[in-house]
Amino acid sequence: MLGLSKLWWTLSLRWFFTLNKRSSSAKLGLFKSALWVSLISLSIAVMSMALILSIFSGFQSFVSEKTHDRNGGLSIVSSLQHVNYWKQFDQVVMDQDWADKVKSHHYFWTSQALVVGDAGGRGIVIEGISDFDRVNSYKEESQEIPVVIGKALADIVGAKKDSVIKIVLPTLSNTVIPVKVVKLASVGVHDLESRFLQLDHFALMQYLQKNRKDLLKKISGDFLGMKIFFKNEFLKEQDMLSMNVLMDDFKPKIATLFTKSKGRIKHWLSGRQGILSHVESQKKSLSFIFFFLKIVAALNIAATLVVLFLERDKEIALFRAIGMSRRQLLTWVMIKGFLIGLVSSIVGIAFAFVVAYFIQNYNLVSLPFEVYNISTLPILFKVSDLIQVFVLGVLSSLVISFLIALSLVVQQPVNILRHRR
Amino acid sequence: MFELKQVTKSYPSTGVVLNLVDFMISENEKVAIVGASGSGKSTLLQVLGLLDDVSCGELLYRSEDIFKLSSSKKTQFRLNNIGFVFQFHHLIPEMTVWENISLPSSLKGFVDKEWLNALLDYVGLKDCRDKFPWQMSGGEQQRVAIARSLVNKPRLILTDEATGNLDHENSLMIMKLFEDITKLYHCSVVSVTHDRSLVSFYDRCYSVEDKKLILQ
Repeated sequence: MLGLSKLWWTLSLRWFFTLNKRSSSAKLGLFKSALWVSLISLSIAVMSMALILSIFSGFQSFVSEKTHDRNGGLSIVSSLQHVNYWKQFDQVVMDQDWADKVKSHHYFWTSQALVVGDAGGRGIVIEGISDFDRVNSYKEESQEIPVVIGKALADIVGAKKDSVIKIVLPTLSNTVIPVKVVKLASVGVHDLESRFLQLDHFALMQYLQKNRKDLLKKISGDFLGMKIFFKNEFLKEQDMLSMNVLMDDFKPKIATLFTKSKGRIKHWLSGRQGILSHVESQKKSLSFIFFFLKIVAALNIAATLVVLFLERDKEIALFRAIGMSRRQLLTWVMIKGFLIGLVSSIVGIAFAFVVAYFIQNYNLVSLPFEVYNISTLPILFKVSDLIQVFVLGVLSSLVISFLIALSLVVQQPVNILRHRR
Repeated sequence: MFELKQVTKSYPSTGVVLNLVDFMISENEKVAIVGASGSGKSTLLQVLGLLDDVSCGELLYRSEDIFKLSSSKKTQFRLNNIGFVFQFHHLIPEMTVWENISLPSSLKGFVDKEWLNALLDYVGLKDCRDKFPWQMSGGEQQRVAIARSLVNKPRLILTDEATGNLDHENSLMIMKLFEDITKLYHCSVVSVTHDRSLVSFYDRCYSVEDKKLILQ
């Protein structure tokens, strides 16, 4: 293998693991410590990088899930006036290859509104949704329309669960409508949460039927869009790229139905691209910085390898004297670098899993819930992240050992063999 | 078989060490090189072993000047045609006797196990094949080194103070081995030694004096 027989691979391993049989000199003892320190330092660098990537992946996943949970995986928006039109869209959705991955779908209506509570008001875009019952059933005798609002919005307007606040709808002649907060929702990102309000659309219609019949015709049967929610396992498989591919397939079929009105389709990632891209760019920046940590660890390995080969210069000179070619020596030294990188990377990634377990189960790092909507660090190990960390760990060690090997192959063995015992 | 012609070797620090040296060794011959410390006898050995470049001169093997080979070709030549035995054995401590002996052949990519067993038997270490060097005496270690030097069936064996670290009894045993080796394996031996009591084992003896090789 690589021009060297099994014997040389065996020797490489023995140089690491059977040093104690060689000598008990203090020099070798120090060398052994240096080797372990190097291995541990690269392991820690690998662990840190794996953890930092997994934390950012965790945040990405958390934001994605929350966003999807509130906004749907795909949304179709049009000015079509009646729910009957949307039945056709139902059929298109059900005809898709991925229809079995759809958990549910519902219609929604949106309007600008001023939300007013005891502490103040805030202008936002609210949503009326068709299947609000899944959150909380509306009682017909109730005077207030049930709403779910973001916790941050609740803080701003001074609303609490079960409290009654008001919304002012400019599209309905600035009508003031009392609503009851039936649930406070965390939306994943503070900014989104401070603009979030969903109400029971049918309850709104019934309220208008009862109290403002003159406005009912403006809203009756009027749905602007449809949201499609995916099952979680399907959602996790989707990244931005694959979702775009899915959209490319889906768009033309829906577009043929937009004969009377312009419409658009978007997926939940594109709607939140700014936030997710921001998290992604932070992830990349930190990985870049942590890569320098790996370089430091790799230099530590370089120092160890230098010690290793200074300690073993006699053997290396012997190998050269008996006929080891430069290519064979280069390969052999790099095998050692590869082994160090391999062991350190595997150990480092294993450490990362252990530390992640303790962080999540023993709450070692707590987050302010009111800011992040999550109290512990969200950690998600993605295979792609781990491969990146692993490859960089092995590569850094390999590059360093290559540089050392280059300096070794030009050395003349003659003097070492003559004078060294 | 091997012939040095008008070889001069000089170092920037010490100047000329060997000056226009001529030397020839035939198959089955054993030659001893003696001389004072620093006289240049080891340098001669290194030159013969292609471990060091020369300032000028030729090393002829089958009418070809080996000094003119490229660095990688010289390495290949060493692997196939030259065996080394050093004063301090230079065995790999983490490897067993068997593994140490098989090192040169593993560099060639083929280990002849029957030949290795025969060599072990020949140097009297058949029962030690799985021992590590640090579990053996100095004499035994030197015999392992000799077996290692023979594994690729070289044409020339170069020994640098091979008995310098051994007692008289072990030294005689090693010399007997060299004597048998040349007969059995049709190779030549060039030995650098301080021990003039062993010179009688060699066919010829040279001393390095005033940068020249003088036949004794």
